[in-house]
Amino acid sequence: MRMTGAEMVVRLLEANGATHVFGIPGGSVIPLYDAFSDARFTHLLMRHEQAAVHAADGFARVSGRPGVCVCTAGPGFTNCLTGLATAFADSVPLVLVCGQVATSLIGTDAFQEADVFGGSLSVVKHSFMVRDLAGLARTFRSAFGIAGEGRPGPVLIEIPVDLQREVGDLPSGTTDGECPVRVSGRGGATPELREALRLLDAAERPMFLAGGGVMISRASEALLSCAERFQAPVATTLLGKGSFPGSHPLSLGMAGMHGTPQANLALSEADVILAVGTRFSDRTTGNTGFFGKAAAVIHIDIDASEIGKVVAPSLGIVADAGDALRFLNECPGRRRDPSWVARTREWRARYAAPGMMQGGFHPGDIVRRIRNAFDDVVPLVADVGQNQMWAAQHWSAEHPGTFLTSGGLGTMGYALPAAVGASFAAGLSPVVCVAGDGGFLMNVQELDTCVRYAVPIRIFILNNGCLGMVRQWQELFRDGRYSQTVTGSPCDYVRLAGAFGIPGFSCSSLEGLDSVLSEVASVEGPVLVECRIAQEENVFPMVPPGGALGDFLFRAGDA
Amino acid sequence: MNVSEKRLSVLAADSPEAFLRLTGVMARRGFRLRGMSLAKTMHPGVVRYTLVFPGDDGAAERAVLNLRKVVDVLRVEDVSGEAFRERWVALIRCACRACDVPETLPLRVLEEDADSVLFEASGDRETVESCISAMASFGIGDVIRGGPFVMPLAPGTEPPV
Repeated sequence: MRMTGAEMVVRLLEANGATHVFGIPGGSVIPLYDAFSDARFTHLLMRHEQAAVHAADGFARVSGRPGVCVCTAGPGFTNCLTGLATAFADSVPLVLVCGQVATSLIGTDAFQEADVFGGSLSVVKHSFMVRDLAGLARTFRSAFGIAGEGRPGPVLIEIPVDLQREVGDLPSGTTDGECPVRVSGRGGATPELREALRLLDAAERPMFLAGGGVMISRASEALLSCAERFQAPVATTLLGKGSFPGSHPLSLGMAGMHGTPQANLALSEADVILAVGTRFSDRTTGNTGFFGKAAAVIHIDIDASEIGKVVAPSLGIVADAGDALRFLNECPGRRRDPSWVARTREWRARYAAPGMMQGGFHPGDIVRRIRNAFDDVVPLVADVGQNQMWAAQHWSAEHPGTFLTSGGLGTMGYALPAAVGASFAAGLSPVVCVAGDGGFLMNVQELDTCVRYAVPIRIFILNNGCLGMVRQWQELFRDGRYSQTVTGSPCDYVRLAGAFGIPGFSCSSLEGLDSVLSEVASVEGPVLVECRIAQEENVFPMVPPGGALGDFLFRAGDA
Repeated sequence: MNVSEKRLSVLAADSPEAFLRLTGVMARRGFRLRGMSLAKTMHPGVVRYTLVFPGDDGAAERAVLNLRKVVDVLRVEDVSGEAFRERWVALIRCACRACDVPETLPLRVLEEDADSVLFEASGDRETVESCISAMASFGIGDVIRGGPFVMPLAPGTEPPV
């Protein structure tokens, strides 16, 4: 069928299952945007290319399908880099279609020319430089396949503008193929899995550490039945939140630097730790010299290069999380002494009081009030910093894909645009965005996007007038020298929201928040709530950098 | 052979992008390439990289696993050790006459003019390096080293393609 390269791109995006495309037009994608006018997918115009990638990322994390975004050459592309790196660090499937200057101009320092391939090399799973239209169908099929298969990641397709204009043949049949389907690894009984089963069956104090890989392979149900079968408590990583119901009796909550005492103590005392779908981030393990010292560590991951990278496991298994957990679940096991689970519950009870300052408008209380105001299928998108940790500690995620945050890269400014994508992934349904004042201002322009598409986003800014996590480290480790962290910004967030046409509220007490929450419920489109919290509020518990997981500070003043 | 050095044989797509991805992964993961050869194979579109870098077995394993994740990479094998024969080559230009050089040195004369001689040394790394050291006394004008080229002693152990 004769058509332009741009029309081919549209047909191929459709054929590969794109329903929503996030982007911004520019000089080198004008033909492409022209072809978007009769596309079957919806294009969402963002206000910054970084935000377009984050939106596609949020879309992917909720839907489980590759997110799609489009940018122009040069600055459009360089703006995308933070988004790509964010998705790469958290193994999120994305396809970025990036314009490029005309083929004849490549290498001449043409207007808006940037080295797309070279610049993105270390932050994409793979990239394609389109140099003719002949292999375009295969390029798109491969791109979507690579983005989603194995350990997912972002894939970039770079298309010079002259090829978008060029007329060629899209071979018939190339667009009717099935969408790429996630193929899980070989299932069944490998010798390693049998050994894992033997270790778990022999364990007195077994536990699971569940990472984001559990959700990527949709293995949450298998994890739940496995945990119940082995009576093994489950801690999650930050990205693993939602892979196991937070309210389940076996849930220990999040492990790591700001993890729960019960999770960190369990990791210190367990005799078998089955870690699945995690890369053992330094924020999760604490000092690796002490991590899992009392335990046989079983590490299951789809990416062979992760086994032994940080933690040397007793048993490393390269497998799909779901395949592995389903195998473990199908084998008969023995009844276990309930004293281990009881012990983890004692810790939970002992450390039940949140490690917050006494009196006042606590972030933990705020997060729990917000959580209770929404149904548990409503996703939370947390930004980065103190707000992220308060959200992780106090937002009980019950379902996969209901807790989104930039974990690996720690990208401030992620939450607002990612929440836009998350909402579209769930049919423009409500989504909660929690951010600090610092990160919120890094992508504040996306308020405009929220308004134009009437995204039912509930934005809660935990405003402490400072860059709080760095301020906390300066307080604890730099003798309180607050270098460039305390902004004292007089920004009026209610008026800021108003300028974009968004209803805004401000509160500085739990009673105030309660009444705001009841008003928020009746708002259809976006709404912004500023919660004015104390600058001095710190995140506890905290494992000091370099410390062992069991040696946490529970509250301010612990040392 | 230096036991703290590893050799990997990598079959990859014949493209400039593949070259950058492969060397990019090595650099990003902290491997310092000490030698590298790139050559076409008997299959069109497939080239072989031979990489040399300092490291132990664990480092080689990590490099193998990370290279296998590169989409353009078709196969990676550790070709370090006794089961493989490797050759290096050096071209050495000296300000001397060919007849001045002891015949015991395994050198080939490629070219001789009034002022200098161009020699070729090839063999295992020690042989090549000892040739270069020996020629130093004759005044080396220029030297270029290449390699390694690695083949298994027994057929079927790995390469060739």
